[in-house]
Amino acid sequence: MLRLHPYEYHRPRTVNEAIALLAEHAGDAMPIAGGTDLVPNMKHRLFTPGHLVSLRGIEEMRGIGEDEAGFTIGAATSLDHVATDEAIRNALPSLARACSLVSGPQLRRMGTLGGNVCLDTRCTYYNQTLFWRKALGYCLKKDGTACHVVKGGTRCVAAHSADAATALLPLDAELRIAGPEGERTTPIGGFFTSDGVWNRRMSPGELLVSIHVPRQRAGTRHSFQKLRARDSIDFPMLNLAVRVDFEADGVVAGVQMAASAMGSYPRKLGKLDEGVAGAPLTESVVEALAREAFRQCHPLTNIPVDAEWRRAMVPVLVRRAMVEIRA
Amino acid sequence: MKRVEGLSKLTGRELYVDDLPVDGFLWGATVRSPAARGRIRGIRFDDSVDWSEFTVVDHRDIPGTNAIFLIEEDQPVLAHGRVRHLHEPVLLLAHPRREELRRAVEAVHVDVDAEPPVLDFRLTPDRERIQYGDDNVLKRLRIEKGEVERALAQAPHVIEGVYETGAQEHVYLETQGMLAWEEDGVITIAGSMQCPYYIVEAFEHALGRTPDRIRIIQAATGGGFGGKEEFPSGIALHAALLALKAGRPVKLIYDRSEDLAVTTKRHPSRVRHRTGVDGDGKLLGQDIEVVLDGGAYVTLSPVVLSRSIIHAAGPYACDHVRIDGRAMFTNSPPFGAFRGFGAPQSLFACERHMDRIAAELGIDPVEIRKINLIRDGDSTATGQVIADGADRVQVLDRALDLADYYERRTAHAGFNAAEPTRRRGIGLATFFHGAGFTGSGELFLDSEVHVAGLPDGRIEVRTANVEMGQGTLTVFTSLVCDRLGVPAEAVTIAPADTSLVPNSGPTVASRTVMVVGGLLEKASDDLRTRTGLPADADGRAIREAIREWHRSHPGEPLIGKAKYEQPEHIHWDDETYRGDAYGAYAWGAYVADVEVDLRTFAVSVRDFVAVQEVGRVLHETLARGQIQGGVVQALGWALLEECKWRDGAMENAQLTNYVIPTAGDVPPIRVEFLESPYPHGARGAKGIGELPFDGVAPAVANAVAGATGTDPASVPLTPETVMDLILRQRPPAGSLT
Repeated sequence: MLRLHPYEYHRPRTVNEAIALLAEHAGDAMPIAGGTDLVPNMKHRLFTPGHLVSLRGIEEMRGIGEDEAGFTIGAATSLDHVATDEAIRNALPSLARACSLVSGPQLRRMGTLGGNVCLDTRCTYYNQTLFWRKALGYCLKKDGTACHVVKGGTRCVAAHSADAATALLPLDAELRIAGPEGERTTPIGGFFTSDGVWNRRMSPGELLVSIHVPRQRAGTRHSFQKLRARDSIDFPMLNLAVRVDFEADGVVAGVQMAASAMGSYPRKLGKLDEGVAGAPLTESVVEALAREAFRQCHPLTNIPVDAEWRRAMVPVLVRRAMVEIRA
Repeated sequence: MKRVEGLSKLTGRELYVDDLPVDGFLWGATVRSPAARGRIRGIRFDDSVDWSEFTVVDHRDIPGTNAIFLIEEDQPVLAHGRVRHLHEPVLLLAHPRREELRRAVEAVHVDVDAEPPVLDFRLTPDRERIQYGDDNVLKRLRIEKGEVERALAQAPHVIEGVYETGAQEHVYLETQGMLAWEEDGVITIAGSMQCPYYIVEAFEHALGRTPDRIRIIQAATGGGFGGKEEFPSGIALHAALLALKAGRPVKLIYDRSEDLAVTTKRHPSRVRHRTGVDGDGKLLGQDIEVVLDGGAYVTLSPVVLSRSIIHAAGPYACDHVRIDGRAMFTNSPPFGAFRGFGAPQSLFACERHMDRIAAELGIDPVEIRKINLIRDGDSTATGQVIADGADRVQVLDRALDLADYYERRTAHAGFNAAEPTRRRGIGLATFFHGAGFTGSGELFLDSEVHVAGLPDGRIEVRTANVEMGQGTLTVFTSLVCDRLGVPAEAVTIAPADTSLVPNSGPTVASRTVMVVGGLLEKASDDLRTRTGLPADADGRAIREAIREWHRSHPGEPLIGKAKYEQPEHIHWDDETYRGDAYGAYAWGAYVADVEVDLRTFAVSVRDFVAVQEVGRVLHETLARGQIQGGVVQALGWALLEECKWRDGAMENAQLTNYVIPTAGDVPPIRVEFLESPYPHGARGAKGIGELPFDGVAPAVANAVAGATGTDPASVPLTPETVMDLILRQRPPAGSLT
């Protein structure tokens, strides 16, 4: 089997202790929650930190809280917990759905919502063992200077592949991040960057503590759709989170969509309201949205699944989402 | 009978090579070529590593011939001078700690002056890419029967087709691994393997040793499927070279990514058919060309090609057949043995082509098969007259019956007319698989088995055939128990250790039960005869006679023996490729019921029926397991599994990207056996290990063809392939996007 490198494992009890440990071993430490993404990546020698700071024993990072403003989910809460929580399933079904579609059952019990938000990007030329990457001459994201996806490319385009993170975008989620300088809150909409090497606006010394999802207004409906090879397990080949706001009389007030597993960040589609706002969500409106989404989505060859087919699936996922939303 | 090693596997007590306790051993690792083709300019060692701590082996440390002995001796144990495929082994390292070893592998640089590689076996290579002979053909074979050109010239219809299949990885649960040590001048290997005596031969050549100084032990083996037929010889040599130089035991275990990237895969194929038929669909002439991608060395490609062309004309009677086969050199890691051994590739083409012929002539796909299926007295492409008493039409009828074939076809027509976005179809394939080595191969193997009577009255089975999950230990035990009338607890199976067991040949080619099992029955008879008892003696008497024999022959071994003798009916000419290619064939008819989603282009199999005539079923549960497992593995090949290549490297060398079916992807598989005993197989059995692989992909592809009105010509039928088929061959009424 693939083996891990030697490292020291720290078990802080509080966020502050964890931050202090990350600062103490800065440059050679990483936080670990469920480890479902980090451990395989360490086995592939993509990360070889000498210190792992476990978040599993930090009580304040676990659990789901609910108040009038909405839900606050500890970053170290398992995906399975979020997926099966009754209140979340009722109030935020698209988030519950997205969490339930991450990987397989065992990994959802270990993997966390915060881990999913901070998931490393994936690429054909990156998620490989050392000897494989060495033979290819490495790549932009790790140890090398050339991009094998975009010839001559100077910016890494590894695929953002996080299901739950994509679902959180149209939910207007806010992230509470703690660091040596204290705490800050940032909307998830501004969290991701287009740099596939490190696509988060968060320093390695910071920790995502919790995710706040505001209560959705009465006329808002969400859907999350995932394309994958097998129904039992698999990373996304395409993700789509859709939000439609309806007026009291049932006409559309606005449409938002976020698509991922195409480039290095979940992409918010633009200009979806044009010609749609004020109209009921009819078949032809859905088709117009499907066409517009197709026009804006361009999956890259960063994962070994045909990009043309993935693009052709964009309107399919839009239609499926709208069927759910109209139901 | 319960599975002999079932409980120890279930409870985790079975020791695989990585579990074997051994003191003071080193870990081994392989330094590989960074280029698909080129001259090695030099090897550099970084100063950052204290190399005095390491055992370093290169080609100069090979005491014998630098070649992995197989059919040819072209594949070096360690590359010297030039490399012919990416990840080719160049250098070996060993160290007590894995972390240091990993850093050391990083710190060795193999500098190669790259040369233009051949990466597509279908293209005629230009001059600068010729690397084998004068045309890169590793092996050329031809079968000729009758006068095919005349038959095609006279045929009312001539129908052509070209079909392709991709590489496939075995994905055995346990990756490749070997432990090597030297003890009293004997180099010893324990590891994961199918063929211990192949390794003995490889060691004789490369280590320049006589067999008495070589001992090969099969450790518990977690799956093989052909992937542990020839490949283990190389990795065993690597472990042995390190152990000999270090003077300490060495463990060399591949992790999954290394295993996926560097080990053998199923041969990719391209098969062309040109078929003459009359208006009823009767085959008048079959002109077939089979081309396989052999990879960078000859390895087993000539024999894979042989089995491929022998099966290429299908289980049909046709008087005029010509089959040309070629295995091509490319700068890919060598392709190798994999369940079916070339037959699945050529049978996919044959059975897809039968449906194409039926469609072009407007004939029912069932009828065209019924007209052409071999009847007793008809002959195969090699001129082998089939007279085994099996009824191939009955096999087909039973499958159609079990599948409710006609009812479903009608129901699907209604469904497809009513449903805007889904299409259902039902497809079938009729096929055969020859069991045992081809032609005179079994004679050449000269297999021998021993059944020993021990002083305490127990009986020990000694063969070199291995358990790798398929049930060898259980079936061997039951065969000997039945033959001698003794209970299971009286029979033990000796470990497959070449210092203890005779060479009963490799565990491949669906030969273990049929051929070796048959020898065990004879050796059991011989044991009884040596105790002086007649054929009707009961088990209690035989065990007492064994104890008695030992009392009167203290210290002497009591061993019943049997050696392979070719059944008299088998005649084969290796020069002309005419005659009895196999002692027996198992016959199959498979039916797949699929649904294609016209929005996502995903194919899902709703139901699968597998009916086969297998001579005799020896163990119902194991036999069903073989069929179901084979069907699932072939469904992966047909729908999901695709090796993606880039510059000679497997791009998706992880199980997150090379996906195989999970339990959730497996349809109901309904298995039924028909039995027409083969007199020369153990209790009438014919081999079934590989058979189930052959009929799945064509049945599924034929069902997809029926569902979508397209004409698939390749597998895997991934959604992107199906999208291409549907949009290119059958443009939809409305725009997709």
